[in-house]
Amino acid sequence: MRDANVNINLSYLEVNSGGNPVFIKDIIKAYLKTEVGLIHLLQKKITLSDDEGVKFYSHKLKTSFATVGAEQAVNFVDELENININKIDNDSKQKLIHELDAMRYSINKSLLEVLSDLN
Amino acid sequence: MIRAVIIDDDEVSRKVLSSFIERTSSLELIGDFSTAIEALETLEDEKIDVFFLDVEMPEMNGFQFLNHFKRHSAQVILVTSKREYAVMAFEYDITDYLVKPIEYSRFLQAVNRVKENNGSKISASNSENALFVKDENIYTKLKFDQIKWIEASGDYVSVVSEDKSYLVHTTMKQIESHLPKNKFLRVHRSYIINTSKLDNFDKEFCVVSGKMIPIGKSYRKELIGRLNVL
Repeated sequence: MRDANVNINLSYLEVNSGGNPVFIKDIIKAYLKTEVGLIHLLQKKITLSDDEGVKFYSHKLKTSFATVGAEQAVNFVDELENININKIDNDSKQKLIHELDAMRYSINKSLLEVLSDLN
Repeated sequence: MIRAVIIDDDEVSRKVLSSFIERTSSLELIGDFSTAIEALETLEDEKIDVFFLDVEMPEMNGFQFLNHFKRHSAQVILVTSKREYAVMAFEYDITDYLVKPIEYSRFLQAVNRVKENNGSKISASNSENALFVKDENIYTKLKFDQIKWIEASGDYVSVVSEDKSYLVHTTMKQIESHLPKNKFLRVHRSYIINTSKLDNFDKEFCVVSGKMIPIGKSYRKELIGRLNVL
């Protein structure tokens, strides 16, 4: 089991904000608004053993995780993008789904703290 | 003002791009779409200068969008996180290729390419995107898209088109000045190629419409820079 605590590295957002904290806030808010849905879709694809779907949503999430600086999560979905979900047993699938939940929780918690600091 | 449209199913990416566009005084955001289908339905009669287009989207991907949309003179900057699309991008006459997450400095480079191409498009359109070449005492109109490559031949240059070759009494330098920079590229002191006809290349040769053409050492860097090789 991976460490569910995801560290947030804000360097991408800071470097590309042009010194405007509103940019950082807007991107974090957009992430919080949409990524729950994407993670749920990925979990559904894992449950259904839909290999193409797992690859598609893992890839989508990779960019969003990279944008908000969730580096461990980037590595996690990178692994998911490259596995064949059909070769994974049900227990392992359940484990992956739980890990995604834990990561989502950890990322959201950290990002909400960043938002609160910026306000 | 360059009129820009974003098509990307990912809201975070759209937000990043729209913030970058807002921050760039030469750009104006005229549309922001989460699906290519929605963009197709809405943009039919709009004047658009550049698309920031995601590749991987459900229902209709970026390349399918390009196959359906009559983009006229609009340029396209592909926005994706898969570097493998760079080769395909070239087939679609893409101006530039941005890898997510996009750096603002790299974004500005892409915008500058759009501006450069806009400049050369104006000069090309003045002559209706064509050259007139003298062929047996008749000046024949040859559209730039018909030209495959141009080859030096003593005091002449040979303009090789889809259906025939024209021998013209001029210099490579002179003919190069009549060609749009966004479509043609000098790859050797004796060759200018139409980049949309390029099939593949290595360090020393490129293949244009099946013809193997040498790449001069001093031209290699520009070729690689123009093709956005990753």
